[in-house]
Parts: sequence; structure tokens; C-alpha cells
Amino acid sequence: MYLDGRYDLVVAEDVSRAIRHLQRREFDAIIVDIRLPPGDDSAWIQLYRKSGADKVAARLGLRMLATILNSPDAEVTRDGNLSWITPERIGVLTVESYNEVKEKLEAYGIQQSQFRQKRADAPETLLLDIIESVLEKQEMVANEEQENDGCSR
Amino acid sequence: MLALTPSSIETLAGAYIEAAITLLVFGLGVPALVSQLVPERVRSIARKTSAMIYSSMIMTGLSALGVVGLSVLLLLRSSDHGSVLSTEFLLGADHAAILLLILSVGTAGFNSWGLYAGEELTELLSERVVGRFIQKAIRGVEEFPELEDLLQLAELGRYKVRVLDTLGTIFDEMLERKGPGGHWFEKALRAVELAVWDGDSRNFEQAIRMIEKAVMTLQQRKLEAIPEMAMALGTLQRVGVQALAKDYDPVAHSILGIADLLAEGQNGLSSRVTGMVFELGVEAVNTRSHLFAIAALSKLETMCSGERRVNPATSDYLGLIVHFWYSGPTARQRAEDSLRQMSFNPSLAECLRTARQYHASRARFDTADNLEAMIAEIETA
Repeated sequence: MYLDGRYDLVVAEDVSRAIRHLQRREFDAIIVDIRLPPGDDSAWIQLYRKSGADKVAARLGLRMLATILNSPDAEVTRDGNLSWITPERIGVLTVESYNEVKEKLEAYGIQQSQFRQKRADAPETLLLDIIESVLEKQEMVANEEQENDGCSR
Repeated sequence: MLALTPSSIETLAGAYIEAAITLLVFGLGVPALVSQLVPERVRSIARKTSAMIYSSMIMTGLSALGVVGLSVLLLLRSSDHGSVLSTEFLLGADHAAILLLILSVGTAGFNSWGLYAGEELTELLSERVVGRFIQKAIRGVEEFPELEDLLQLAELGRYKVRVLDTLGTIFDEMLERKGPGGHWFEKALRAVELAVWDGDSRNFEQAIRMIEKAVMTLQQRKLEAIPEMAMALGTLQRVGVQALAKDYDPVAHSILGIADLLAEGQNGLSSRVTGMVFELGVEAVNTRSHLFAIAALSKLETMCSGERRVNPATSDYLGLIVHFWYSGPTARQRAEDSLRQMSFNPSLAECLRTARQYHASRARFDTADNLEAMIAEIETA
């Protein structure tokens, strides 16, 4: 990512930090790991503890997606101006297989093309690859919207 | 039943005296022994809070007495006659053997206790420091000698985590009760910087998290312009430089995340943040932490482009670019790629000249000289 030089990468190590970043500025792509620690926000800490204080069981990445996409099943309310976040801006990069999270991702409007599984043999450009897929997806959605606008006129 | 003759009573009395002397030796010697097992620095700090060391010694003495009492009981039970000890038994080799066994088991136990006592002392000390510090800070006192005790402990590697936890508690409590202004903030920040010195990556993470919380509190309360923010960023920068020197790159990367959050702020904060990223980037170039150097450059590219473009940010960006420029052909290539992506108003040469003055005025002479050389190179080309 850094060597490619085309994108400004912002890394958030936990859910609290991630949400803090998202509240302050708009990003072209948001890549989420499912196994995220809660950080220092009490609401996320509470949720994490309720799930046995285990990153694998808590799956805070998925729960964060529910919050930032304002899904009805969100357990933490969305604060701040996050209305710019749409499913096509999101990518999921995680150890879990697609089938394990498919149901939730589909419910949030995130498609398989926006998903990558972390594996030992994954190429070093995996992050770059998923970002490009997310950006392509956005372009596709934008084109579709333009076409729809054209038809309605 | 055994009849007690005057000689056997005399022998028995002698045995009791011997046992009493043993008890006395244990009672006085064991606390001293345990005290020796606690690291000297902990002892010297603990002496200041005598109640702590006395309570520890009393507890140690009592447990030693317990061990001796048990051994006496064991001797009585092993006697053929249960209630009265035979002279032969008391003088026998078995007696010495059992005492030796007790001594060795006791010594092993005391060793463990010594270690435990060290931990206990640091915990008690930490609680006391937090209490005293908060009381003084709320009263507006300027000096906090308690922090010196903590820092002495931090010099012993194994207590660093606890010391940083204690400082974390102080930060949490004080930010909540009094806010980030005042003498306490400066002293506590300095303590964090000193405590983390020579620490491991976990210690650095603890320190960075603490400073992050402080700067975020300052920003939330719209206090970016107060000197405390500059202090906090200065501390963050120095901790980051230490982390880079120790190859804790992921820890240093978390500082770039904080810089991102702060760069959105107002009141001149942006230039302080870009200055911090510049310093970290230069350190990374110098320590050959290339990936971090590129990350810092990438951050400055974003910070000085688009709507957020401010002159100091461009000067910090060009300052880092020039260090890439003179760090070998591959690094220069990266610098050229970066420059091609950026736009300069009125021109690159003019921005380089502004950057040269900017860095010279901040005593960054190496950067200023390199910029001078780069300007000459570009103009010749």
C-alpha cells in the first residue's frame, strides 16, 4: 500500500479508533477485519465483555458494520455524521471464510467481490487488491445510478 | 510412663532454650532476609513509606513463626510418648536432620515470598502515589516528588508495566476531574516519557495510548492552542523516535493514526502535527526504517494537498522529500514519484526556497542545507 503510493492508508487498531476516524473524515474505501478489539469506548468494551472478551467470538468487525451502516440489528447507536458510509465503500478482509459471514454481509449489502480471506499464502498486495475491488464496485454503482437517472428522465 | 529425673529436665530445658533461640533467629532474621530479596530500589522507596515495609516484615515474621511452630509440632508428634520428649530423641541425629529439612523448605518459601513482597510493595506504592498526586494536583501544587519514586521503579524493567499503569490511572483521573491544564499535566507527561525509556513494545503502546487520550481530550475541549497540546505532541514525537530507534515500527505507525485524527483540527494544530510527522519521517530515513518513512511521506502528501493545504505542511513535506532525495537512488525515485503527484504554487523551486527558510528558522540545518542543494540541482537541470 505504502509503496504503491496511490492511497493514503489510515490504520485503526480497534473499533473505537476506527469510528473516531470515520466521524472525522470521509474515506473512499473502508476495509474491515472481523476480529477487532473494542478499544477505549465503553459501549464497545461492554459488548466485547458480553461476548466473553474474545475477539473471535465477539466479531466486533461485523457489529461495527451494523453500526456504521445504521442496520436495524446494530447494538451500538451510530453517532456523528456517518451517513456518507454506504455498503459499496466497504471491504471485508478477515481470517473467516466467506460462508461464515455471508448471511450478515448480504444483509448489510456487501457482496462477495468486496470480501477477501486472509490466508498464509495470500499475496502481499491483498489489501491493495480489495481496495481496488471496492473502488470498482463504487464506480459500477455510480454508473448504474447514472443510467437509472437517464432512464427516468 | 517416663519418669523425669533432674538431668532429663535439665536436658529438656536446654532443648526448649535451643528452640526459643531458633524462633528468635527466625523472627528477626527472616524479615531481614526477605528484605534483602526485594530489589534495592524497591526497598529504598519503600523505606519512605515505613508502614508498608513494617507490615511486610511482620507478615513475613509471622509466617516464619508458623513454619517453626509446625516443625515443633512435628517433633512432638513423632515422639514415641506423645506428650513428653525423650532426651535421646532431642539429642539425636533425627532432630538435626528434621531442622535442616525445615530450614531448606523455609528458605525456598521465603524466596517466593520475597518476590511476592516486591510486587506487593510496588502495588501499595502505586496506590499511594496516585492518591497523593491527585490530592496535590487538585490543590494546584507544582512539585510531585512521588513521580520520582515511580520513575526509579520504572528503571527496573519488570515494574515498567505497573508504573505506566499507575501513570495511566493518574491521567484518567485527572483528565476527568481537572482537565488537561496545569502543572500536573507537564509533570505526568515527562514521567511517561522517562518511564517508557528502554521499555518493550507493550510499554510503548501503553505510553502512546495515554498521550493519545490526553491529546484527544484537549482537542474535544477545543484546547488545541494551549501550550499543553504542544507539550503532548512533543512527548508523542519523542516517544515515537524512541520506538523507531528500537525497531518498534507498528507502535510508531499508531502515532501516524493519531496524527490523522489531529490533522483535522483548527487553531494552528495542523502545522504542529505535520512537524511531528516530519520529525518521525526523518528519524525513519536516518534509521533506515524505510516502510515507516514512506508511511510518513504518504501522510504528509495527504496533509498538504487539497483543501487542507497550508504552507508549513508543504514545507514539512518538502523537508522530508529532501531526506529521501539524498538517501540513495531508490529513495530518490520515490521522492520523484511523490513530487510528480503534487502541485506547487507558484512553482516547486519557489516552494523549496520557502521550505528552506522554514526549516532554517527552526534550526533544522541539515534539512535546510539539503533543500539548498536540491534547489541548485533542480535549477541546473
